[in-house]
Amino acid sequence: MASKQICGPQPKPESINCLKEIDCKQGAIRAVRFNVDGSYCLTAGADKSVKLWNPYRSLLLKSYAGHGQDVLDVHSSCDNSQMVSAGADRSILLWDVSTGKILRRWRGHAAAATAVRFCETGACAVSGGRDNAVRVWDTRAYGLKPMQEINQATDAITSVRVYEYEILTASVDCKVRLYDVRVGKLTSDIVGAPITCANLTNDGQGLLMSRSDDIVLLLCKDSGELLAEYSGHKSGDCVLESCVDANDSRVISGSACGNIWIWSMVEDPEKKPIKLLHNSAYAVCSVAAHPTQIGILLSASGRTIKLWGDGSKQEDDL
Amino acid sequence: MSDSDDDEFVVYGTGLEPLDEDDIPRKRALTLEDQVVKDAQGRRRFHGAFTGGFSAGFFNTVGSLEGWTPSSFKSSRSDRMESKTQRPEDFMDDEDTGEFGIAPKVLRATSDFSHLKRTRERTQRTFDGPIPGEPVLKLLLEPVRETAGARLLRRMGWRPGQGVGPREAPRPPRPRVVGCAPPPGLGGEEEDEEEEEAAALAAAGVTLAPEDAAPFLARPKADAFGLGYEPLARRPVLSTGPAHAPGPAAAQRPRALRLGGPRGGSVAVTGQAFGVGALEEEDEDIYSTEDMSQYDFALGGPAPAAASRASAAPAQHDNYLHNFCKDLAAAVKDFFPPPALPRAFRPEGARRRSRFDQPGPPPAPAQGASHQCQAPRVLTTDDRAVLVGGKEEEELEREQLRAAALKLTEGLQQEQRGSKPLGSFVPFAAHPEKQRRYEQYLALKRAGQPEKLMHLQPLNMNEWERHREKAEFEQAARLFQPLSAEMGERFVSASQPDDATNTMTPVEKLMGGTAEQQNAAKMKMFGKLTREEEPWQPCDLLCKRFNIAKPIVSGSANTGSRKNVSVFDYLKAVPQNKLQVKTAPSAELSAATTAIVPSASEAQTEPGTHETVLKSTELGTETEPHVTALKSTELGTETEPHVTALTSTEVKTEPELASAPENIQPTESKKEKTQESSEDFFFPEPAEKIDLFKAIFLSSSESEDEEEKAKQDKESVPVIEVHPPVEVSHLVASAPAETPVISSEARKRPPVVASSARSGVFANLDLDALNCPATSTFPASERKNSERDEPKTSSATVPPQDNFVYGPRPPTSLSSGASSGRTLPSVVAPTKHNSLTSEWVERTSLHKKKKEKKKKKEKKHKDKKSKSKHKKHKHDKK
Repeated sequence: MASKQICGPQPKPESINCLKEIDCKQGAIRAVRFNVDGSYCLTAGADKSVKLWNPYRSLLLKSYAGHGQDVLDVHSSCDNSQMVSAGADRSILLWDVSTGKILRRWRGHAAAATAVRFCETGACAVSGGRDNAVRVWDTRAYGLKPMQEINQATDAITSVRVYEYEILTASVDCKVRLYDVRVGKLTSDIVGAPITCANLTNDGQGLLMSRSDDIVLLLCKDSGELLAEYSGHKSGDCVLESCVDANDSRVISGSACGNIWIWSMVEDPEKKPIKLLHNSAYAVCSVAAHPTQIGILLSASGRTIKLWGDGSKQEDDL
Repeated sequence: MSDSDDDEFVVYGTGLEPLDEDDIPRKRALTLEDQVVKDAQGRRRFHGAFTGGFSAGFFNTVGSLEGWTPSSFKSSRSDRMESKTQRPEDFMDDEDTGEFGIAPKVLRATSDFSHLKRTRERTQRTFDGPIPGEPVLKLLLEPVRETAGARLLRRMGWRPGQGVGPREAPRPPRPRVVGCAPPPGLGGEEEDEEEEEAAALAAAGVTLAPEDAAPFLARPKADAFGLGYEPLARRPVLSTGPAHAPGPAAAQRPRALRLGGPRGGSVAVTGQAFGVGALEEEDEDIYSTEDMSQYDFALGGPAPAAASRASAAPAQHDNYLHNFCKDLAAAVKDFFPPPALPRAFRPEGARRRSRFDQPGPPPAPAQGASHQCQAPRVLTTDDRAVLVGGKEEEELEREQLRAAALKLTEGLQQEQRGSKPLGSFVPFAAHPEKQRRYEQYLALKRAGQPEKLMHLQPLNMNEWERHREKAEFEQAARLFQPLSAEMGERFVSASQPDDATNTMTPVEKLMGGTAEQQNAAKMKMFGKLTREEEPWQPCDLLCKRFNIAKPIVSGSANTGSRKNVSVFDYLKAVPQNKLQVKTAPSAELSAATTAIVPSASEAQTEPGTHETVLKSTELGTETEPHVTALKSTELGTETEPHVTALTSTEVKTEPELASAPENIQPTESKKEKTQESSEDFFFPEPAEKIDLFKAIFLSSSESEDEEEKAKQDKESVPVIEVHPPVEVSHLVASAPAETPVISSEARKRPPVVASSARSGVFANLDLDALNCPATSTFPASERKNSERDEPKTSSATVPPQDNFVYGPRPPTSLSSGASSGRTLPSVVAPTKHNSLTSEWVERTSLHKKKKEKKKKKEKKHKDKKSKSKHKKHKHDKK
């Protein structure tokens, strides 16, 4: 895993506040994502569009239309030239970021595609859907068939992550599956409740997952043992996302009540988790942490996204 | 400074210009922009690469605006134009002739005087002249240009012509010659003198510099001979070698063979007279290398010169460099050759093992391989059980595995039966065992571990059969999967029925995994309990895109990429299927045979030994009615058209069955039933496809023949090998009615197992001792059969006893009577028997005959097929 450069001192959690609020005007925001260096963000909206923003200046850069239904996930490649989006219309789209053209439209899923990721090189994209299937797409070829079909899951796939040599999928069938491409091994962990999101920590040692029963779990990737669990938030029936900070210091999760919950990763009984209110009317379904800077967050709730950060930072720095 | 001062000093070089007081040197370094390269005229030479590389102006244009202009030719009577030869300099800039140009006009040593010699001159190194060697004048004129290394060496005391290294004592004298004296022409006296001199020097403590290492000279090949071959050449004796090759090459060369007397006119002949062919091995060089140096002149071989040198000056050697000593460790360098790989080694990625991993089963194939290496014949587990008399570890382990696999399948099968309506589909209805295994296989496949089927297959199947059956199952699973099942693969059936009326009822949240795992997850005991690891094979392209080598995953079922299904895949397994059906009759069928055979023995009323019954089964359908029935019941499970044709033959033989019709009838009806039932389950497609295939590629008769032959072989081989007549007779003596059952069992068993593994009744018998005489002692004592066969099988008589009995043949009636006469009334007449023996036929030829007969029959009955079917129905109705 590429080590990420951590810049700046870690701010006190208390100092996190809302820097910007953007009304995206694309219906409900299904997902918000930073790009690879955190300078831009992408939002996937219910109005079938994807929008590219500069969140620090509330600037809409481009809008991409082409999906037939809600866009459920979006991800941009490491060179920022392409992006993939997964739609409820069962299709995965590959976009050219600068021109806004659709390069590929893959229709390999039998139900809504819920999650999609590029691999590190951008040579392939991995998508998961409600048809229990994970598909690997070749972005370089013109073929319309998936490169590989991964069919181990027995229920809907909620999240897909691709790391250097690993593909991590979370499924409603209570299993987190880690496919090691290099070794040729599938490691599945039974968690006991449907999983809405699964991530690896930045150091590649921890397995962070949001369970639908109001718990965020941190397991050891190698042994599968429980390292920590974070609770307090309400997940309701929402598919909530969780993520970790750039330096693996904090765990961030959305909640059904419109709050963003931030725990310190090492459990500290004295420290209470921080609750940041985004919007009490809607659930915070998507959160994204800045890939390099600590304390910069994006959250999506309802029709708006919010940029959170350390107040001491100047906008120019960001 | 005064003038007088100036006079006193000698000024060398040009003095610096006096500094201007006003021109204060700049403190700041030149910026990058100011650092511009300019030429002599103060023009900028280089320009930014991004601005075009050169600026407009007249650079490189002969220094003029116009550039190079063609010369004009103008000549008149008054002033003639001189013929002007153009030189390269006419086309050059001033810079080109400058110091750094391409044709600098400065004083320097030309290449004639330079140290580096041109390649042209290298060829003419021989100097023709009165004085041998290089001309002295040339050497004098050559400028002295030494390399830095040579200069350093000189400072350290080295002289040209010496070698590099510590000084040594003069070379020790050569060992005294023991044996025959060297020939007089070799100049022994000179050497003696040298030796004496050296000894004197060594005694005086004089050390000499080591000899110069001769530089390696690459000698250009000027002749057209083969590499390494030197032709015969005559030279004067004085010339020690060819002139063009002085130095070490000459030393390495074998000495010349000298001809002629010691005074004048002697001629040395060097080289080889004949070459060596490409395919020949070069033997000792008998022509030119004959030399005394090839002999040992002292006992104990040639004395190592290096060792003596080292002993002569050890102190000098050690202190060659101050503060450095020889690294002894480096000198003794152990070399460990890589281990020899076993032949069965397959390079496979080492699987990462965790300490939590369960100790898995030992790799089976490797074990088998090692066995094969150790023993020429592989003992089966049954053998071992007989030998040891108890269960071995391996067997226990296998049972454990089997139990594990069964446990795995049980739950899944129940689930499947409960939920899946397509469980009603039974491709192997004729064989409940096989069907059961098929179901287990389906369950295992569902669990993603179809390879575990191996543990469930019975032990008496060999490896090949197991693989075959597995392939068959795979085929069946693919073929007989209805569309709903294919769709079902994609989806998981709901764990609870959807309440269609009330959509608002909350769906119960799913808990994945087994109960144990769920409990562990509930108790938050994550780790070993909740973790599952299995091999997963990423596809080639994915690995390529991830830029890694494809991992070798052992035993992974899900390869990711879908197989291309070819039409011929369907054809492959179907014949196997048929064969299996034939070879392994179901339980009810064997029961049917038991029902028949008493009647057979009754009908025969003869020494009804085991082999006779079997024999009759071998010998075609038309000879013995009850055997025909047996055969037909066996074949009844098939749906092949030609098989039905076969059964129709039985209809023809029905009149002959009059002796025991009541015994056969029920079996017939049974057979019909099984046939009907199997027809229900079978897809008609494979048969049709096969027919199509045959129509295209094979003539039907051929293929049928082959099948028949295969069948015949299958049936006949075990009979010959397994059942020695003595044993059989023993059995017959005790229970004649049982024999057919055993025979059918024997037919079921594959030949390998049957020959090696004896269990049950045969366990305590020493069959090997009995086997050798057994094959031929026992004459086939069937007469009715042979009588009927007489017209067809009358050729190539082989008297069976001739092999090992010498002298007059004992009457066969005696032997048969001894074996079977106790229980059954022996009716065998010697004369008849003789006639019988004379009609024995070699097996292969018999088969052929039979085949031909069959062919004929089928041809006959092909049109009757439909009729016979009708008849059968009638028969049933009766």
